[in-house]
Amino acid sequence: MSVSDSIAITGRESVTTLFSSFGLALDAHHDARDRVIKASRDITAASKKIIFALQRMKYADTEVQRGDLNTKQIKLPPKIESDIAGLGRKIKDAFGSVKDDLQGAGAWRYQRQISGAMQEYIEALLFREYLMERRILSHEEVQTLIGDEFLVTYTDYILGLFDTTGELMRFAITNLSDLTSSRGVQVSPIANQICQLLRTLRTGFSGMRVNSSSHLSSTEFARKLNTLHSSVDKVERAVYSLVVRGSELPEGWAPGDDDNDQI
Amino acid sequence: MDLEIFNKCQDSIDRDSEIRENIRNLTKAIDQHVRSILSILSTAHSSVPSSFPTFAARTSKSFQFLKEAIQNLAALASQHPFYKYNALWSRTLQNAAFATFFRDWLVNEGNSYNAYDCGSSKEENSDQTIGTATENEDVTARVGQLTSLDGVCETLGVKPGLEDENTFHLSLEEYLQATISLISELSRLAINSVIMAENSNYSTPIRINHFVKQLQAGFLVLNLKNDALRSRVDSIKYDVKKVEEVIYDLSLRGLIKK
Repeated sequence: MSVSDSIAITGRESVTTLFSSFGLALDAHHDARDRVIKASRDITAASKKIIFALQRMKYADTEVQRGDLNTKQIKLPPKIESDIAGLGRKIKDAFGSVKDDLQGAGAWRYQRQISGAMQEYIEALLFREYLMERRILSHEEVQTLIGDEFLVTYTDYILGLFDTTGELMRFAITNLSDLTSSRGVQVSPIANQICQLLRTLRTGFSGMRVNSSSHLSSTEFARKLNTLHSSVDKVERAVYSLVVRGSELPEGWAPGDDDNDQI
Repeated sequence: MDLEIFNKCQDSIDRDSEIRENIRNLTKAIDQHVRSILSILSTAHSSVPSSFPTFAARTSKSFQFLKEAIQNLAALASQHPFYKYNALWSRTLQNAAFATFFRDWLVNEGNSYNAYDCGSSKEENSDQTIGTATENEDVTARVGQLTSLDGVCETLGVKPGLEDENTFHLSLEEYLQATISLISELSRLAINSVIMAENSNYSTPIRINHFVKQLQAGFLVLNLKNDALRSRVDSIKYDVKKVEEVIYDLSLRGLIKK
């Protein structure tokens, strides 16, 4: 009979022997996945710390040379600079520890396990680059920074960029007023710039079509877009109130340092 | 801020969605063939084992179509990293592997039944009723074997996934998931071979019992993590229990000899 011809039965090999060989392959897979999950946690934690460190600085103090915003150099306070460098090394080490696991087929096999860390790290990279250079890194630039041996998906880039907007919102609020201005209370240049950037991002993201079959989950996209809307809203309102109420304040009044930490 | 970023993201989303859509369509074709195979094979639940090989043979055309459909999917999937889209067809391939297991098991069971039950009743027809099993050793001598990974892959026309390749293959997890589906199907068959109206068959449950116990022992060898496979492995014991209850009922009433 034709059907029985094509049957390859395990024969004398017992089921347990067969399964023992499967066991080795499964164990290797589980070990690799565990390593990736662990590295992912380390990268996420370090990336969050980088973001916190950046949030702690007073932007006005970092501007080395005043004048035209686009030519201004930003110099991070030494403490923050060294903290970030240390955390950056930690992240590189963590990535290095799972380099082999994320090669070849592993890149996509463990993509879900590393994805969260990727997004958090991308967020830190984008946030830092914006504060230093006032620009948003492209997907390609992020890929180059993280290294070509690691897969940076568009999904992770987009979600990382979304999260960056939340950090930018916080940063704009804490650095809202221009403390160095001699002309009363004014909106700081950085807050103004962030406000414009967030509006552009809002417009850009709102124009995107994400259907339910794509790798980027459409529900997650919608949720993040909602968050972005409220972030833009917060910054716009804050700038608005500063403009309106700032004009009422007496000449020469400057807000105390405490007022800057309200958010 | 460069709006080019959004265009690039949009492009990548669109390309990705299109590939996913294409893969889904090919997967649906495979599902269709698996369904027609399983609908033929499910007659086992109401047939005498001696007829198993006959209707298993009737699936050969569908298996041919199935193989072709899988090849179409493999051709598309091979253009992309394997695990990028694996989740889209994983379930489908599991079902296809299960269909292969079930067919092979039924063919073997039909042959065992013919060799043992019919043979024995012809030779020594004096002291026993037809269909009543005698010695467990004899009954289980021809117990079904699990089709090997290579065997399933050959039937389906795919590669085995024991080496972690980036090419299209049947992964180990999919193979094991299909094994669990077979256990569950056989636990149902154990009951149905007893309740068959005209020709109650008590030797098939004995062979099923031995077979699923072998597999259960096999799964105990594996270190499982808390994942999809684990939760299904946990369900094996309920299927084994179902089969054991059949054996218990039959022995209690002397329908099978100890």
